[in-house]
Amino acid sequence: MSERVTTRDLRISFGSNEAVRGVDMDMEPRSVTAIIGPSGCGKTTFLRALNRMHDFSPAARVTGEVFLGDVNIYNGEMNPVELRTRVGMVFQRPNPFPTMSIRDNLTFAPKRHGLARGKELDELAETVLRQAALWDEVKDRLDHSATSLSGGQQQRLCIARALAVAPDVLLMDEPASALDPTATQRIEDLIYELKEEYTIVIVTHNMQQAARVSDRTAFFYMGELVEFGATDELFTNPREEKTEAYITGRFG
Amino acid sequence: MSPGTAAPREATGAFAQPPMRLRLRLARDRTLVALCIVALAAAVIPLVWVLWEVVSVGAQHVSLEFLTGLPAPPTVGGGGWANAIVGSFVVVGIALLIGVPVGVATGIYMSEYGDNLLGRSTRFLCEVMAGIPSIVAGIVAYGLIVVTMGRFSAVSGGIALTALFIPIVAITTQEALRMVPRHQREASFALGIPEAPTTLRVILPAAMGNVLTGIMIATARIAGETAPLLFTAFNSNYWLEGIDQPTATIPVNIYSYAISPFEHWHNQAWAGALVLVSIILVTNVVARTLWARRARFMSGH
Repeated sequence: MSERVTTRDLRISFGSNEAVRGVDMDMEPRSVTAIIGPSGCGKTTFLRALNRMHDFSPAARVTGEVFLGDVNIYNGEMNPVELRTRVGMVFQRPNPFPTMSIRDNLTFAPKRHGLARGKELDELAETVLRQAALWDEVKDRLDHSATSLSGGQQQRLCIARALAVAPDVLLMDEPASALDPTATQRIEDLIYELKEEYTIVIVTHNMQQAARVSDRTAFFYMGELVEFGATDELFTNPREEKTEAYITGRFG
Repeated sequence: MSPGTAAPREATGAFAQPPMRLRLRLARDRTLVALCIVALAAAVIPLVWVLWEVVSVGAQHVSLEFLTGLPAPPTVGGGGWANAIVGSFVVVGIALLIGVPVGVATGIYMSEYGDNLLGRSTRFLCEVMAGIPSIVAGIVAYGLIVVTMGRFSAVSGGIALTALFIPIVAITTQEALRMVPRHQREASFALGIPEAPTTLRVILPAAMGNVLTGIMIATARIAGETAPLLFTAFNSNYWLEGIDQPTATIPVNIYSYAISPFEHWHNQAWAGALVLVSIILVTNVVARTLWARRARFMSGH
């Protein structure tokens, strides 16, 4: 449980456009690493390389190395399908399966992976819903459609769904950007609790959010990792001029 | 300046001309809408008229005997089309049994794995096939099956209809799957679900409403086809004895009764047309009602 994720000279390009330009980064277990930067800086592209989601875009080319623990995830040591059961992902917009009930959203993947069966599946659903602080709100309507939930509830369901396959790492791509402040607050509280058990990497547009939830922050600019360090440090006393300019709002 | 002193708009230089031009634009707008309504009427009136004729004339001649009895010679009067009604269900049923899995699977391939020469040529072939005259499908089935088996049969009729059914279903399935947002696929992939189960358990269910619509349209089309059945299922005055035997069907009966010289048979052809239209309408409504329940679940109510 909870593995370190390491990248070495990670480069990702789409045709002639290099979106991520040689990033070396260590994301520690049981901590939250935030990635900030202006639009188009490559932060989401970087995140999606960590669970090989670029495999589905024929135009994307990924070079360099990404390690989950000691295993290089790009050189064939680990099957990408297996990788994604160990590195979960929460997307920018809540994307529950619309044709499935709340329960089925949670049990679909674990059932397929053979992680649980029969009554265990119900228990698993309850466990992850409690972890995602959603149990009390949905316990009486687990058979309802997932789309009957509010946006914030749907996003917590998606987090619970990611947790249900027992990953080591949780990638979050601006998980609260489509949500209102109250729902955002709940997601942030949740991230804070989940870091006890998972390696969390969160991409965010919102610097206050990065400051609130993360232990370490990485600042990306034009596809490069400009600065990476303890969040307190980076926000109060940035080493790089570009970082300072960005966090003080001089560009972005 | 108080509101009352504002000059009327027409009087201010730059705005002096527009009212005239505006009137022209509005007139053009109204003309276009009127043209659309005329075109709509031209499309709908014949449809309503045909439906009205079928219902009003057909209803006078539908009887219990017509629905349950076997054909009688025209000189005797009476008689029914029960064998043709059964025959139509059997022939269309055979076509669906083969056509739904093949058509849907072809559509899945074209949508999910078809970004290559095989996928693109299959799509092209489907478009061509959807446009070929239906009698050609009948000739092919005749050559392949009827000649080989040595007799007309329900199964050869079903296969002829399948050839018309598959391309429609394949194309509509492909379009339906393509409409499912990309983030649905990603949600499943990110959970470590491989491509095949993602397609079958996540993407196909999300597209099922439109896939079903394609199947309904294709079914309605083949249920009314006459030409492919003329020399495959052929005809019969008796109950169907097996799918390897010739059978009467509603469309072929309509054709042969309508061109006969007997007024009694003409009336029965009208009644048959009404039965055919009703069957298509009822199955359509039933399928849609069943689907609507599922769709209500998905929209969260």
